[in-house]
Amino acid sequence: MSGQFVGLNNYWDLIHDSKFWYSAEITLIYVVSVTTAEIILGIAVALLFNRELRVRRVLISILMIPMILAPVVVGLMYSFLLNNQFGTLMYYVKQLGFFRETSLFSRPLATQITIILMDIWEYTSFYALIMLAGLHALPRGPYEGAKVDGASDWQTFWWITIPTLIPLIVVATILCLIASFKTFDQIYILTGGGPSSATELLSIYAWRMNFYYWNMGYGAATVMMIALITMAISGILYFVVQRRVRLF
Amino acid sequence: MTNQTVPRNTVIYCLIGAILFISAAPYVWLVVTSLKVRADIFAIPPVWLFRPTLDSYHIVFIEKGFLFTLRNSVIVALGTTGLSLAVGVPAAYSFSRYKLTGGSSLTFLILFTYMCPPIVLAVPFFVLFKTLGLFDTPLALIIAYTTFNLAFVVWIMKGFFDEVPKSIDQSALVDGCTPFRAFKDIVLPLVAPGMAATSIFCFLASWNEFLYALVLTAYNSKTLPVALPGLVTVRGTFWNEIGAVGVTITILALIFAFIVQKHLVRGLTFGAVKG
Repeated sequence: MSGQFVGLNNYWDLIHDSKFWYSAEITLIYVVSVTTAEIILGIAVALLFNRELRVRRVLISILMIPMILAPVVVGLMYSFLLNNQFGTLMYYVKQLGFFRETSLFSRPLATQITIILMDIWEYTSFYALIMLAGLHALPRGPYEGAKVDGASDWQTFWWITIPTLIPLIVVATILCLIASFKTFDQIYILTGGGPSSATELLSIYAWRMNFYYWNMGYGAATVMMIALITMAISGILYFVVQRRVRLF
Repeated sequence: MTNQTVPRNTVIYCLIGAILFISAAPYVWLVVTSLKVRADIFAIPPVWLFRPTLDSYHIVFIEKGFLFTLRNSVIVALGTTGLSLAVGVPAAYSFSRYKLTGGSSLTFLILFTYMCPPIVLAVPFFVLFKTLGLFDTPLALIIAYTTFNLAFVVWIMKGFFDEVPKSIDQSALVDGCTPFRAFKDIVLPLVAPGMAATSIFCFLASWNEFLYALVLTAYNSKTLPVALPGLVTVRGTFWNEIGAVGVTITILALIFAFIVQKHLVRGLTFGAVKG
């Protein structure tokens, strides 16, 4: 390893690189949409499963399948299910009249929506499990009080369930932000960042700079940016968990 | 009142059924694909009735040498789990029992190490292992995986140690135990179930890991997740073989997850939520 000391030049190049900013932009959109959808759907699924069910343990295990699968397997599974020629799922989608002329993975917006849906499929059950753990720990008292006072189901949910779940929702949201920001495997396998760079999240952008273009000085600067962003989010998580200890 | 409740319950059970179907269907399809012969996987419209066969498992593991890859995966996962536990459990005990200087910044650094995206450390590790001649060895992967797994073990095990009352090891000390014996013979057996769950989490994290393996291996130490996409080739992809390896990777994970279901939420939220 030889090289010349260039000071902050790599960082200077980085902040003037429109590709970096484009990647940062789609990462932000990805992270925000994935987190919003997974937390809301997670609460909804938890409410559905929060009742007396026969073979409950088995049902929860089935619900957990997507989050346990190796992300690589998920990526490969969807790349075959959605394969333009042979994909089983794509066959039925085409029967409905979509993607008959241009394939799914040649359309930027459709591909971006696909990776978001894939993440929602994969991890919603995880946030549902967190919320279920919270719902189990809720005290019965307020609910009985609300029933006596004639509150509707919606009022009970909005004024009792949600406020008591808030600490849990905050932690789950931060965890989801970090996890979706890290996402690499599935997208690398399914789209490779394409078409052009429509799904090139920061993690994939950094990988490409380092291990595809072998521009490791610039790549290291990119990676430092990612590290700083993660440090900021985990700082918030640390603060929340330390301050509100034993709330859960 | 009763008239309303019946259709409402039906709707709820239908929704639960639909959610379970969406969760399980793609995986069931993967298992089914792994049992098909080559001709059936490309059939359009899809074939749902066929004679199941284990041919693809035979082809991929025996003829295509995935047995060697499987061996790598097992070595790396076991090595990482062992190393992380050997270093992490005593460290967690001292975090739990002793007041350390700079304790809170240390715990934040541990959290950050765990949360850090692998691409961040993959770059320096790549340069480091190339220089040390460790590139493409299982040891390189074990070291790389120990970074996040060690952080995980320290953090989670600290939580389990905190749940054991301090008076227990104090009374052992009063009775003349050395601090190390109090740890080894008195406290450790009490946290054994937690430690078992923790080691399963470590094993799974290394077993499923992809990015480090992609960057730090070339041929000799490829693990299953990183060798698997290699079956996608321009000359034709046999999805039944991908299914066979995919099922092999995931079936173990699913069994383990079922065993540690009680600790799952706690483990996967880094202890932030006690499930």
